[in-house]
Amino acid sequence: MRNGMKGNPEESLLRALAELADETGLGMAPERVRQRLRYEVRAKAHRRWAIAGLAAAAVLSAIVFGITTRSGLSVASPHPQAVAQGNRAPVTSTAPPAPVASAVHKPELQAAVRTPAANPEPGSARLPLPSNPKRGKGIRPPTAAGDWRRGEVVLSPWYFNTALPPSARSVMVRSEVDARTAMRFGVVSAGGTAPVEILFGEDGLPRAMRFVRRLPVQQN
Amino acid sequence: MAPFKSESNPSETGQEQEAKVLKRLQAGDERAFETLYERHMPPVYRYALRMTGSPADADDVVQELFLALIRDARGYDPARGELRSYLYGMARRLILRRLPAETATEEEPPEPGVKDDPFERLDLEQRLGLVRMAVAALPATYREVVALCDLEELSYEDAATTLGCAVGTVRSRLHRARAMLLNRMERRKCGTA
Repeated sequence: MRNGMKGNPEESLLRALAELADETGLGMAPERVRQRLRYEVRAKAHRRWAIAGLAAAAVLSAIVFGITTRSGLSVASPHPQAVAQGNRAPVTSTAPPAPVASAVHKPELQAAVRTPAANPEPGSARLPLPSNPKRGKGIRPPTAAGDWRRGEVVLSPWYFNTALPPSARSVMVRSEVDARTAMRFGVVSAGGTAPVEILFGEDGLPRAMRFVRRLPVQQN
Repeated sequence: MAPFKSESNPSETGQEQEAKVLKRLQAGDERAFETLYERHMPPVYRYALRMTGSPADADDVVQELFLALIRDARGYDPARGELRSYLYGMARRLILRRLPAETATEEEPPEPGVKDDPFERLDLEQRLGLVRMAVAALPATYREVVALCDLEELSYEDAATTLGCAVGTVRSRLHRARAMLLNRMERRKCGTA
């Protein structure tokens, strides 16, 4: 509409609205909004990878557990506190660090779930609590079970699958996750991998897991 | 709405393609975010700015909307319409939450007809200032139809989808809103003259 032009009020209004639309048509949110949203997308992607990494580690640990129990391999080192009652020695895997998730084979996983544990004696299973409160929460004294267990600190366990029925027997399996995955859970690992212990019930399903921190070797 | 260039597949509708991009965004795909942001941020921002009249509020609306989309966009159903309408609907809810509560907007008496052109002898700046103030003074129910239909140039059908009402309601609200705008501008012009 031109200045001083007289016309229909309704048409003039529509023209004025069109001018207003043109004037505000290039409005954009500032770059900081985009940056904030970008950060959220990245954080979401990282969370997904962390969960996928842990899930892969748990599945691979189950496979290792299944292979170990089926093939009757010798127990590398018993975990003295994995079984709260009785004097049973659960199976512990000495498998190498977990390979990539694409190596998972379903038949092996099913076998791991269905295969009964090596020790037939009944009992109850709980994750170990510190035997001596003076030592501090979650800290386990070095044992003579194997050199690799010396100088380690067991971190607080994370329980999952709490909806599952209680397991009469359980087995602690040691595996490793890569350092980046461990970092996402707040565990810093000096090497390329971080050891984890996963507690399996007799049904082959994981009940809990915890990270293990290696302490620096002391020279006496 | 034209389909995504990078996603174009003759057998897919625009909605399906947008739903796919949305899924990728939910999986943490940064490129999907950039695509959706580039495409949908400007209209959503303009709509929020015109409704709230505050750039800071419009920024907040855009940020909250896209955050909700990144965290969980399962509410979008491609069969029910375009993503753009869905986003306008989300933005509308966020905007109405920020606006002060209004009472009895539907019960206002009909505006008297305006015979004289309220824009007569006004230059561009004056016209824009006058219409901007008049739009900002409209009740939210009427401001949103003006923002969507007259300023964002949405069709009546799309506006009805966004507002969750019938097309006839959009038409009648728009007609009433324009009458209110003219009347208010006439009064303001007389008051300022």
